[in-house]
Amino acid sequence: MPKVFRNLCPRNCFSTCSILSYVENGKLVRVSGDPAHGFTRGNLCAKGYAYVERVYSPERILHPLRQFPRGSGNWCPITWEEALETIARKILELKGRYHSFRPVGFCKQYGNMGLLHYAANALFDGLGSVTVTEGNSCWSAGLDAYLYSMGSMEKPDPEDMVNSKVIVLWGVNPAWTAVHQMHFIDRARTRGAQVVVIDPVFTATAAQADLYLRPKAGSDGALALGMAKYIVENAWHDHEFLAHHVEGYEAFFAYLTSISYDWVEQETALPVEAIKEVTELYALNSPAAIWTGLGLQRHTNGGQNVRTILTLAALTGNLGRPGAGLYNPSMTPWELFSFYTRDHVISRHPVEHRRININLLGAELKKTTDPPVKMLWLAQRDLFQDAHTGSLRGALEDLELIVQVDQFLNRSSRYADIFLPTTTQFEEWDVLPSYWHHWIGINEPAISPLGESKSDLQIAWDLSRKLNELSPGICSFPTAGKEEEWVAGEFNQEVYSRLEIEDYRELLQGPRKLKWPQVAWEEMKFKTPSEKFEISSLTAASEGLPLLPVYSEPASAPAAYPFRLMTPHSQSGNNSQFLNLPWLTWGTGEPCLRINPLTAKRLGLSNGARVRVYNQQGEIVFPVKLSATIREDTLVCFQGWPGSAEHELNDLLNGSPTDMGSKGSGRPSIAIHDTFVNLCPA
Amino acid sequence: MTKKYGMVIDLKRCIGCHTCEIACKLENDVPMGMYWNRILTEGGKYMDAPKGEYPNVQRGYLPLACQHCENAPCVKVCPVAATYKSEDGRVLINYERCIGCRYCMAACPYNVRVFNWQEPVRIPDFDYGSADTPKRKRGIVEKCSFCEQRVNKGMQPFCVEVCPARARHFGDLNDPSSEVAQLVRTRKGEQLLEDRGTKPQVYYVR
Ligand code: SF4
Ligand code: SF4
Ligand code: SF4
Repeated sequence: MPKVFRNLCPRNCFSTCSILSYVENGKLVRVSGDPAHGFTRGNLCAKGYAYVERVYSPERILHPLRQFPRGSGNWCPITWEEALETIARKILELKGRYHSFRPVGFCKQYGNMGLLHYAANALFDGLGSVTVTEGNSCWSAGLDAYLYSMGSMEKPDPEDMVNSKVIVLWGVNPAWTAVHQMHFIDRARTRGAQVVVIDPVFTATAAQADLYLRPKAGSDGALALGMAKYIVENAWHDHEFLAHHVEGYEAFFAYLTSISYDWVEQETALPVEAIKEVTELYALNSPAAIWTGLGLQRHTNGGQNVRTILTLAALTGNLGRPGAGLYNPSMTPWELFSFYTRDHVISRHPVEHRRININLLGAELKKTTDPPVKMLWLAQRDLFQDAHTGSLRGALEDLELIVQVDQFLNRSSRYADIFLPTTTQFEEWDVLPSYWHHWIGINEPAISPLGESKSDLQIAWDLSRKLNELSPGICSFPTAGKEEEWVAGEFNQEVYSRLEIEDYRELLQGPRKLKWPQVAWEEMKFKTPSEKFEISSLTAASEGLPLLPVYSEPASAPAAYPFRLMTPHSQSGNNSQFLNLPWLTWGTGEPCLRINPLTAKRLGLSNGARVRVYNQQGEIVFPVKLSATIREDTLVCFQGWPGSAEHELNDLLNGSPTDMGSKGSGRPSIAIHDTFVNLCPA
Repeated sequence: MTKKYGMVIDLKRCIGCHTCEIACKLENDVPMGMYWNRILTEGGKYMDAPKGEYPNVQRGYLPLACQHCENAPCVKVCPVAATYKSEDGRVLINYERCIGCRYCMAACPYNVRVFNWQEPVRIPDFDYGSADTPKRKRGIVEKCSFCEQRVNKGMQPFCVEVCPARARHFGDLNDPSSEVAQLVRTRKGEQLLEDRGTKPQVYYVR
């Protein structure tokens, strides 16, 4: 009989599934969803069921490796001792040379979101001030729109969506990226709810919608303004709600009189009838919910567009009630945890690191000179998901040591000198909340670490030990410990009482739901200076942004580059992860460029024709695939394609920043969907 | 009355997520290069291919595995009775008996049977899935068994359990009160290639 363990899927995904892991003779032979988890309800996604392949993939790296020379692909096994000694000596040598730890760079993102995976952050805190990357490429602009409007990123329990009469999925494709939410959407539909999808791409979710709108990418703010205008004209707004809970609506109403439906039609490329239809649906069927997607805000006007969408909920009073609300990922349940690992050092000795923008890493590395960054610790990250990959290559080549900590080699590995193999969730203790649902599970080791892989926490202890051996007292991060005790450290009385347990080990019997409001903003006390929903935001104005959610012109295609290149999530991957697994290669075929059939006809291109896609930043050669899912001015290539030594998809990104992002995550993110290109037969 | 196991797949609900395809591969220890259960895209061979002409397009999927035909041609052609109709209406294979002649593959109009030409290659390189999933050696034919190892124990086939859209239903078609029988009745279940007279026990509703 197999033994069954509980794990959590730590990927950057809405679902944060609880997994039942079946182990026989020390091997993970099967996984299944955990029926005790009320949101994922016993299901994983396709990627989740492929974990058995991922853990034992022949491509997984199980021993420390050294690549010499860099970029050669000549990776040779080395011992942990040699690897740690090389790294520690480099850190100490840099400190000697520059009298500072700032030449040591640290760059980590969300490959594994577990709380114990913050060990590396704390390890570097233990040295003192180093150089860390700040910002993220994901959700920053939209997050700030929520912060300006409501003061904090709070959202309803996604299970509450069953109570909605109308669900507006605005630039979000849960059928691919949040499959478990489809169940709650379907339940609402069985109870009569209407589902609206607004997306420049006709997605799998759009195919299920009762009403689908395909606006021009980046014009969402104009659509929302048209909707707001129609609401006010018909007096469908909630007077009572506005008077008590909303700041600045009068000025906004005045602004609405200055826009015309003709303008909205022209801006969005949507017929005014469709705009009126969606408005009527949303405004007259209460409660109605809006879920703002992440792609939606990856525009130079993305934050302002999201802000405008959010006002629709304020106008119609669709806040603070079951079935209503505004949905976006939220870290609020995370904040309940102790961050015992992440703050291990800084809770005692605050550290001021030098911060550089993760979204412009190449340029930022080049311009930090005093002292320059000479070494990079790269964890859970594929740098070629960034923009400006050209300058990135040069900057990486200039570094004296690059250490990569991961499970698989990826595009960044070409530049790495040392690769340290880390464990999967099945081989370690961990805990992580979800940014979407309110369930908390626990992650226990189901199998022993494969090969010589070590958990991120173990690696941090080991490197601290090595550093302290060579230079006693140099790093204040612990040099040994017990993983499970660190899991315990992440819990506290508040978390326990909200889970109604006394000990984290009770979660081994099954995940539990946090006692956490099902509805956000029920008290109607927003966390803005006025304690109201701020349509007019002095905070935004004081930070150089418009006072009101007025329209901010989207980036438009320059004459030389008439096509918009969009790079949405692929179905079988999670950013750069999973795409290397043969189990998951359905229908993806060769990387290709999706092109509207009418455009293809105009250009004389047929399925499979190879084209050169180019702009000022770079070029890439692809076969085209005709797809009627997109507009004539749009091209789509799903993200995560490994590329080749010469060309990466992201070579085409110019890295224009989004309009917002600094407030919530330190830096604006990249307007990834405002990439313009031209193409010609290759 | 004897049981007649069958499945109903709700094409209106199916979001083409391929979860059932991968979960089936895991549960049934299906080797590399093979799937017992595939998700076809109605618009073309790519997973996101729409049907129709721009801009009036739709997307649809067809999850396809053994149809457990009532009048199964594969059963008729098997010279050694390795493929058989079980008493409760499932089409199963006795893998010990199969001689690998592949007559059944030629006879099946649904192209859902797969054959191991070589020593099966697996990643990981051991048998995965449930402990009691029947083992198959090289040179025999295999296919969807409605997860016999699970259904024998009163559980649902794994693809039914894992479908996040709850698009798959399993049960006794002979029991008029069963969910599957009701769905076939109320939502006019359709069978694939009905004209072949194979009488599939897998129904699709739209
Ligand atoms: S990727 Fe998301 S949906 Fe899939 S198993 Fe992990 S958490 Fe669940
Ligand atoms: S679908 Fe094919 S393999 Fe399955 S019972 Fe029918 S004929 Fe046999
Ligand atoms: S798991 Fe369900 S929704 Fe997904 S492809 Fe299979 S039948 Fe369709």
